[in-house]
Amino acid sequence: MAIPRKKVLLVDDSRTSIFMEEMILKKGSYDIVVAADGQEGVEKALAERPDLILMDMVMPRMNGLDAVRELRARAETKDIPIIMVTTRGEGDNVEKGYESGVNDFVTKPIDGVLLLAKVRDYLGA
Amino acid sequence: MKRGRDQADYVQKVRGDSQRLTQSLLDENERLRARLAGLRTENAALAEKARSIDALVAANETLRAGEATLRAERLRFEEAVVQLREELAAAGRRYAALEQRLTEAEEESHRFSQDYLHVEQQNQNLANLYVASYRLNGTVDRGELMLALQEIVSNLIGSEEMGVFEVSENGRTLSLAGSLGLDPERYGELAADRGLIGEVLRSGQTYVGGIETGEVRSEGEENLTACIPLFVEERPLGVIAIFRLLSHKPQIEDIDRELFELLAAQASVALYCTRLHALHGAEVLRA
Repeated sequence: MAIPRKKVLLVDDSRTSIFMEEMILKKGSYDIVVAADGQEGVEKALAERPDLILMDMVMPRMNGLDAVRELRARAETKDIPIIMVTTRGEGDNVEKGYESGVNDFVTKPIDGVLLLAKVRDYLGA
Repeated sequence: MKRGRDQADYVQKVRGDSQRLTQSLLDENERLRARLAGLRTENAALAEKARSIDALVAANETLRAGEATLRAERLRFEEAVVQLREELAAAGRRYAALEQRLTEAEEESHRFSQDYLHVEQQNQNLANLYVASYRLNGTVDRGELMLALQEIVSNLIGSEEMGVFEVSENGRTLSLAGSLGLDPERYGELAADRGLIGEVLRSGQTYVGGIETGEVRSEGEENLTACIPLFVEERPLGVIAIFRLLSHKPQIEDIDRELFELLAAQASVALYCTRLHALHGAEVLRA
């Protein structure tokens, strides 16, 4: 019986960032779902039930922190691990991120080895 | 009568002699008996002593046999000790060899880990270059190109203060065509022949902060980290100026320099294409 592949939702308005994350995660054989802003990220998370979410912080329509709060407030998505991928890795932003329910942080420019290690750590694969 | 007396005397004498002889014999007999008893006792003692001696001889024999056995055992033991020492020495040599192999294996493993990290780093660098190239060549729309440049600088290099400056028609000024985190009032128009940015435009050489000494910075260039010339057919189109890096990005790295080279080569052509597309795109697409 084939082991079901883990699903990762990438939420970022930057196509460059999404493209980069996809290239890094290709090494891990994951199913990738993409959303271009926080609102779409919440919708995709509810519809796709990913195993992990990589969330950008600054996005149009709904920013990353609000999207995380929304996901944590819903029973269907409250336990999905969320890694915030952001250019803003300063203390205050990190603190706000953890308060909103983020599990971990990765700063841009993304260190591919580090990101993949964290993703594997959360997914166990 | 005398003869009778003599006979009686003689008989008496004989009787006396006989009695004495008898007594002497009895005494001798008694003495011999005592002597015999003594000899028997002595004999018994000697027999006892002889048995003890036999026992001692037997014990001695046993001891001698035991001693021989012990000697043989000791010999075997000594041989076994020698053999064990040899085995111990051999085991020591094997252990040392295994330790050596383990050390070598650990060093090899460390080298492999280093190589793996190096390869991963190279993979990431290639991925960065590929993504940047893909984004630059994926559009002929000017707005989309400016967005791609902002994203490349922000997400791949690590700065949220950058500007794309284009040379004006008269060649004397640089106009801000696209930017991220810059004040348009301050950076809207720069003199094309001043400061580090002017020098990049003149020389066509990428500037990376911290390399040059004695550099002269113009107003607005205080936080300039890098400046990339955009040339097509040796004609300057403009520059990409990168100012402050993100707080968690301490300095420009080797991959950033490679990205600068890629931007210098491909962003200039992409910018040129967007101009051509703006001027003649509709006409070309109709044809």
